[in-house]
Amino acid sequence: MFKSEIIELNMGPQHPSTHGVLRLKLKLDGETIVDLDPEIGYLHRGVEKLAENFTYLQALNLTDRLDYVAAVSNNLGYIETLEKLGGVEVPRKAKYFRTLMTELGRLSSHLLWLATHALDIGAMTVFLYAFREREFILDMFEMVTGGRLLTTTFRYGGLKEDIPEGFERLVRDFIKIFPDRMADYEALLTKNRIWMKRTKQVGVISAEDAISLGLSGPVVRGSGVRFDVRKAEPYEAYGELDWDMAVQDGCDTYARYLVRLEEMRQSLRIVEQALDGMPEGEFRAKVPKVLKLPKGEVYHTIEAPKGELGYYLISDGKGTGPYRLKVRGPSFVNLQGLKPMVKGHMVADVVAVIGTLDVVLGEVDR
Amino acid sequence: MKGLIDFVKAFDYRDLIKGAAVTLRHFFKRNVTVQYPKAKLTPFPRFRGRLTLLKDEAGEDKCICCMACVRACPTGVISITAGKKEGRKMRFPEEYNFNMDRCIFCGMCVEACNFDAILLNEEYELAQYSRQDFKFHKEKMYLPTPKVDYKK
Repeated sequence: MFKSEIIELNMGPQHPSTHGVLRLKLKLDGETIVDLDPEIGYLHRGVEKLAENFTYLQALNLTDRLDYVAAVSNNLGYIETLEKLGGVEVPRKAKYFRTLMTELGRLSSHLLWLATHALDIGAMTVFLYAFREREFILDMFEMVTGGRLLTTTFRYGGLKEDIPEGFERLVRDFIKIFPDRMADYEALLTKNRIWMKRTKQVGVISAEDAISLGLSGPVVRGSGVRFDVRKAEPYEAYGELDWDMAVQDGCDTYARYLVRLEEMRQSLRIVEQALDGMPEGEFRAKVPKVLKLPKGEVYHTIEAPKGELGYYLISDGKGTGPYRLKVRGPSFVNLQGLKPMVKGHMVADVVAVIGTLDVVLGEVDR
Repeated sequence: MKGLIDFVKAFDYRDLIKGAAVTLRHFFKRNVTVQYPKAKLTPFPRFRGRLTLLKDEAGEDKCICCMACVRACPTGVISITAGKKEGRKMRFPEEYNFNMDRCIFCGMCVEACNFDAILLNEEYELAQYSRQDFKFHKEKMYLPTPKVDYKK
């Protein structure tokens, strides 16, 4: 009597909640999602190919534009890859400062995630509060590097310039105010009934599935997997500082929300310790002005705010630029978790799950 | 029985009151936003704005046309024609063209310069109406960006 059929719905690429130009082809049975197909490539710029025509230093500009909300982490991963191949010893001061900057970058990335995630689900207030604190961090970036979003910071062998005067005071101010602000976000969200209903048991993925899909970062730690590159293979000053890995067993969106909040608290701890223990001395090792790397291949990963960020670099030993650069973007891999997470949920939950995966399309499409 | 407990719990508005208290507290706090065209923020000294050429105390160009900035630029927006002048040992830039259209404000040129001859200044209102206005020649490079009267 009644005819029922599966309808196809296009979400994006101009949908405000897909955080960029992500297009989702949803197959719906009523309002339940039967199948889903993410369509990517709308922001493809050929970053990896472009890097082949650039020098090592120029290619640093491209890494800014991968995950543009956490450019510092991308810079660090790339520069460390070069240093691993070049075999240069970085001064301790540079190591500590890099750790500090990367953690500030993680805070700013997580703040943006919290803001937009809450906005997608319907909590407008957190958006405004989180952006206020993010602005504070961007001011610090501007002070150190001159850029707010595209930082292009760090250089082969250390830092570009010494730490500016007044920076320490700014960070100390931030350390002082931030725990209170965190309490505000938590008061608005953590025990809020609407927030819990929209996030608990939404986007569930088991630890086995998460690992076999190659997910990383807060997404996999929200499923109870104890894996963090900063702990597994400590780089920079992470091995010397005292901090804890944030892990939750909930496997759902709410658990990942708690993981990221805890990470923000831990990041603040790292920032404080790195600032207290900042050694004196040189900020850049003695390196030639024109960078040439020996022939070889190298792969290096760091823990970016979104997950495990890897760079695979081949140098032919002759040129002044990369022969081949491959980026393992965490957002790209984490996006694969979208399909198993939203199957069987409602259309409105897709928005929550995209938010919890925290994908940045600049990194997905590259 | 469980349904009854859930029903009673639904009237426990502590979570919402806690959230409302935060917003209410913020209502009495000072504004953090700036009313942009009327009030303006000053960028930090390292801010990367528009590229400018610098002169030394004698009013001569510091640039000696070593082309380091041209080679360092990832997008190729700088082009220089070198010239010779009487009474000056070094070459000087006869033409220094800068195409702000494609500039990404990365600061690689300033980093490459060995003579402190160029600088990314602190200007951030760089919008223009005409595309030609983005092409900077040597004379325009020393001056601040022309102010645009915005049409309503």
